[in-house]
Amino acid sequence: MASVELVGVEKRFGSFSALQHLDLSVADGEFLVLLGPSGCGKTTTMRMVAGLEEATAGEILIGGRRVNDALPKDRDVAMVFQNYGLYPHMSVAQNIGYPLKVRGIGGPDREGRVKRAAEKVELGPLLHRKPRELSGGQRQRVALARAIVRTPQVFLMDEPLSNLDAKLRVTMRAEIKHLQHELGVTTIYVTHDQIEAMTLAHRVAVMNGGVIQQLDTPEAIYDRPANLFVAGFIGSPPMNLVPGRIAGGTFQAPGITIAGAFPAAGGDVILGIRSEDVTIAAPGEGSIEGQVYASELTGEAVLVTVSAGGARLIARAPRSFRGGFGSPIALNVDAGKIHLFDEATGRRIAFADRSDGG
Amino acid sequence: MPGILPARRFEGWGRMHDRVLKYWLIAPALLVIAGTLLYPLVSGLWYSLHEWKLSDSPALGPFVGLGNYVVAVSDDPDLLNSGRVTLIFTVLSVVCTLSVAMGLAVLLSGNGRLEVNARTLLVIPFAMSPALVGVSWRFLLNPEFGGFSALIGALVPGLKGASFLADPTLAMAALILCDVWHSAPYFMLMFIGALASLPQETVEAAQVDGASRIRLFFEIVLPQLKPVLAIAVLLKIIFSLKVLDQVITLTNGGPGTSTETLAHFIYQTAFRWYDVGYAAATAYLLAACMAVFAAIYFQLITERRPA
Repeated sequence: MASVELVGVEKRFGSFSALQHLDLSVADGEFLVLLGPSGCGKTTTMRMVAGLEEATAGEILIGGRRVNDALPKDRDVAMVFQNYGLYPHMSVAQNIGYPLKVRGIGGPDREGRVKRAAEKVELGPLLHRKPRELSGGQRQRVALARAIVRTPQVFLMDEPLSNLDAKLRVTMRAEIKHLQHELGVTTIYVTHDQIEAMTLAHRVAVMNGGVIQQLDTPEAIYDRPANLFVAGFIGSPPMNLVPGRIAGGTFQAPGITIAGAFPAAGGDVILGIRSEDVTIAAPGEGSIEGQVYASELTGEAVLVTVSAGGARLIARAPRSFRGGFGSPIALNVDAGKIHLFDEATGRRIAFADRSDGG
Repeated sequence: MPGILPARRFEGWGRMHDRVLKYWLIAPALLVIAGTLLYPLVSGLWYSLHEWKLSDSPALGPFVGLGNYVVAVSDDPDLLNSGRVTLIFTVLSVVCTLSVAMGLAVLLSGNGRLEVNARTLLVIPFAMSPALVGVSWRFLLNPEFGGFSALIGALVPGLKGASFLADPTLAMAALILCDVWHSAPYFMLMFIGALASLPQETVEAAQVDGASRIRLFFEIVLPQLKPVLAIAVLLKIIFSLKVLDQVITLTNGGPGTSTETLAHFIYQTAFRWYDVGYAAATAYLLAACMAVFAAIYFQLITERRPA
């Protein structure tokens, strides 16, 4: 177990710059998730930690030791791949035992450790099978078992759940979280699924365009997104973002007027509000007047999309909500939950009297 | 759904149907195959059942039934020697060719400029006619002015000035060397293709798991290439069993009969000793041998690969 540190790491592929000056430090035993859309550099970052990709500049340290020039086999990490990377010609037991075999651990010691690792992921009865005789979820478990069969300094997981169906993904998510807690091994986990990131991570690094946009706990990232990208990327449905103007302490956009404790000289801003912080009111009784654009039952609630002026907002209404297409509706927002972003830079604007994190 | 059928249909040649047309289209190819493959096969079988010595008469001799075959399998030390030579040549050339091809494939499977250029250069030997390859190597191995001979002499002092084609063992080695040089590039390309289609994740997983390069190759890469390797072995066996051109131009079966392969024996029997009936019978025996390997080969390439 060890900390991982990236200091000023850059990666260029030819003239394309995949990562620009990345600083990241992962504490011993921490579960860090790299989150971002495809092409944001998150997988490249992880592959550089594994040694499968060379850093163009900067330093990579594992447990305080500089590993830039170390081969993957000398970095003492274990990795779970998106397509599992199982050895097709080996049985489940041989797959799990391979990291031990190459380290010269054989006989009953290896057998015992393979068995214990397999039991941890509930693979016990499948040890003699070949990977092609397993389901996707079982293959995933073999890959996990192979990673935990020895105790590496760091676990690296590259979108390990993306090939599983939705239901299995939820189960495996909990299993991975439990395993990491039990083993206490520093883990770097790459995903583009923000729910996975929120549920698993101690801290999340949201990445875009080769740059870390925000690095914080899931709560902080959800409650205080650092910029428009993070605000739009985290949360389902994504945060409502309404461009407008603050004048005289009031936010104004076509068809929308929200009074609140806004900074007096606001200028052009983008107002953000999550769907659960928007409540439905009778027409004429809200700060936002509009029509029902669509309403979708999700099971526990109804997502109501309202068109107001030029904007569309999504509100989370109780499941008893009934409103036909086009019927008039009003919305109120919880003033304490409003986010403001600078229109020009996209950066979060902090403003007074707001209990941030509420 | 008839409504979405294309409106335009081939209407040429009156009312001729697509069903008939397709046979007309492949007919020329079928004719060529029948003329060059089927006819020699059938006539060869017919000749093999006769005594036919061109030195006696240009006309087909008396029918002898399986007489030629009986002599071949029971009472012909020269044929037995050729069988032994062919066996040695086949085993060694298959092992050497495929090992060299695999080594080259691993070295040159990258996409750097050096690798791509080296690959292109290496295809040249394969593009050369085997007879020409034999002639070239005859020169290269000449003890007085051969370039390869000089190189070997410098590397292995014991072989300095050795007359490669005059010594039975060295002649066989020369024949194998020449064959490896000629056919390894083909199998190299085959292996490069196979290496490229290998799931990259298994290789990376092994690297992270801690495997050294040697282990990675023998424990992860090679086992996954097994299906391709099996096909390559069979194909090379078939190629080696019928080796003829290089034998004629490099050693002409000599010294003595030390490099007289089966194909060369058959060629000599028919066109030097003019014993066409007996040559046809031995040719059929060789063809039967190769048919066994060909059958396994087709079995392998047509069977459905497991997922």
